[in-house]
Amino acid sequence: MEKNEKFEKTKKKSTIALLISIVVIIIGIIIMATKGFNFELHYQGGKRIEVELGQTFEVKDIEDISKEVLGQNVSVQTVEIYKDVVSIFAQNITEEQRNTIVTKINEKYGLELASEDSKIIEVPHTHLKDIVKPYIFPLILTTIIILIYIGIRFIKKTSPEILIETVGVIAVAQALLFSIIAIARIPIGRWTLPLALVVYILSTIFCTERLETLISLNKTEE
Amino acid sequence: MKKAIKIVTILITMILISMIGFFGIYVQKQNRMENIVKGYDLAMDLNGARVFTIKPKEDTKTVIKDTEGNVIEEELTDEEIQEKGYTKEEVNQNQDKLTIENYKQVEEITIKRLKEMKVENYEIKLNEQTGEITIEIEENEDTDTIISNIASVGKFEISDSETEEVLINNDNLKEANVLYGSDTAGTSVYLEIVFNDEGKAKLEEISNTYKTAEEENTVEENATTEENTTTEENTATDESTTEETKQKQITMKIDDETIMTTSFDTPIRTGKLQLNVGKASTDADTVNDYAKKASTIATTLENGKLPLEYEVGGNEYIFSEITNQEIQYIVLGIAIAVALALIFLMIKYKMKGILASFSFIGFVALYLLLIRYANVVISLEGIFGIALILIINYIFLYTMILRNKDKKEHIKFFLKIIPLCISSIAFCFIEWIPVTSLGMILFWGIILMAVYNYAITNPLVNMIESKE
Repeated sequence: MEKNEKFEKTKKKSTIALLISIVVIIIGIIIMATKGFNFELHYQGGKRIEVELGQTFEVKDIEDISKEVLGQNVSVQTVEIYKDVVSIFAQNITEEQRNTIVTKINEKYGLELASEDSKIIEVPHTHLKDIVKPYIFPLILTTIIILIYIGIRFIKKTSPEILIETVGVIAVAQALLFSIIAIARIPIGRWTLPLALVVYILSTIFCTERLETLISLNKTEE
Repeated sequence: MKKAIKIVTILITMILISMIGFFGIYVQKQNRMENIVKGYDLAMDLNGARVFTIKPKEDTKTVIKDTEGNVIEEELTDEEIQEKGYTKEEVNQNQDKLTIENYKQVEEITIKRLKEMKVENYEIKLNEQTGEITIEIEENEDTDTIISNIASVGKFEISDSETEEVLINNDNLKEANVLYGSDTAGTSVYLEIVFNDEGKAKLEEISNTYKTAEEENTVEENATTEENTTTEENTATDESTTEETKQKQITMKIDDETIMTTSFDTPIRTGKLQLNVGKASTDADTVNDYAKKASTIATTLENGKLPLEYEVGGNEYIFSEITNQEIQYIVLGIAIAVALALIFLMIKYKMKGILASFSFIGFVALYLLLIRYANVVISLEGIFGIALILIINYIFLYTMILRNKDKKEHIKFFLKIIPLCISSIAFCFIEWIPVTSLGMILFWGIILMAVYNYAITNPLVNMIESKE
């Protein structure tokens, strides 16, 4: 009786969680279709200038100058092994902004750099499919192996539906993650795919954890 | 008393390992202190990358036009042009090839070439307006070779040496491979060009048509032993033979560079051509160089011809935008979370919690050492993997504190993380560094978790339990 109550409670909780997930996923899909994803500057594309200082510098200094001229969404990177060249990347850099940045760098470091030497380079954006592509095969391969394992270990003790459930849990977890990213307008960036991989691993552990618990409950009942 | 000594010994060992793992071992070398513990191998996203661009080659031609825009063929001086009211324009001869379709095809071929060249971590961006492709790859000893070959057109042609009529081209190619042959004189490296069905038939026909005259012996059977694929001297000798005997010969060209001019001893019915790239007696480095050279040509040929000529533009090393400071923040965040979790253990489980916490710190230190000496490349995915292993180890530690004597619980724990074990092993075999990094980090983490907790944590907790 007690076990049945516990089972019912868990089932009810799972149903609520699934319903909430479906709602979030639907909202996510609508936002993805209408507004698309928000991308981190690195993947967004934009314009880049390189300033050859001819001496070492503090990235923080250049970052402050760039943010003052270009706004907060700026990426500053050191170029080449001598670390005397800086790359400034932003969504847009006009010639006037470039000139201001070079002037400010000159003032800061007592240099006489000519702004014309720093050409404005256009950087194309990265397609989401190109970011995701290298991860698809590993995930499909791993999922197949995990499904084989689950099939061997659990099907006899439960039912063949567990395979569909496992695929469902993995897919819902990923869809949920990307929906939250789309809804919260979190930029897709270098952190997104590592996070997606971790969510994938956790969702597979969740599936086996649930099945192991179910089997041990059945054993206790017997 | 014996138990106390055991506990103290284990604790001292753990403190020592922790100091090595977290701070390193410093020795004096040429008046400065140097850490002799191996450093971390960082991937492109944390370390930096070689960023280079390839762009459509401008093949400009000066065109003179009259007032109505008609092209004037005759050669005129600037004065004459001015007198007649003509205009002079620089026209890109490749203009009609500058299309999005071609740019996308170049991008696809470039990706195939990168994969073939075993580049396991790259980022590629296509500017659909200009056709410029920006590529980021790992910095290593092969980087320069990759950059110098990535933009090769990959045009393959076998033509008549006199009429220059193209007999076979890229459309007839199936694949290209690198082969090795050993004999007492040393190891030979061959480039094997395999033709498709149409190419096979054409090659047989050509080898019949361009058969070596009986008194001549230009190429041995199946064209396998042509000495050097790029030696001008060799080509010249062959050509001189042609003139003397009026022997019909073929010219093989890759990217408009003559590889060889030859005729065939016997008809080739296999659809395969084997070209000798080089031979070395014992020197492994020379053989490797030949193999690299052959492999580069094979890669260029196998993945199709670029629809238009490209050239390398900018090429520089750019450090990661994730700064050391940001990494320090991440490490600090993880450290604070770990500290809070361990304080919780200590407060809740008193002595058992304290020992378990010491054990956890020892585990982290040993894990960090293991990652370094197992040559694991750390990427962002890897950092997530480390955090995941720490969380799982903490949960395992918790299980041990609660039910250390129930060994079934330990087995159950590992049964639950079998998907993690499967993922880690599968990821290790993927040729994509961010995924491999995660796989390797998880793999070593699981192994260490099992061994360390069995050998260190378990006895420690057991000793305290029996004392209680």
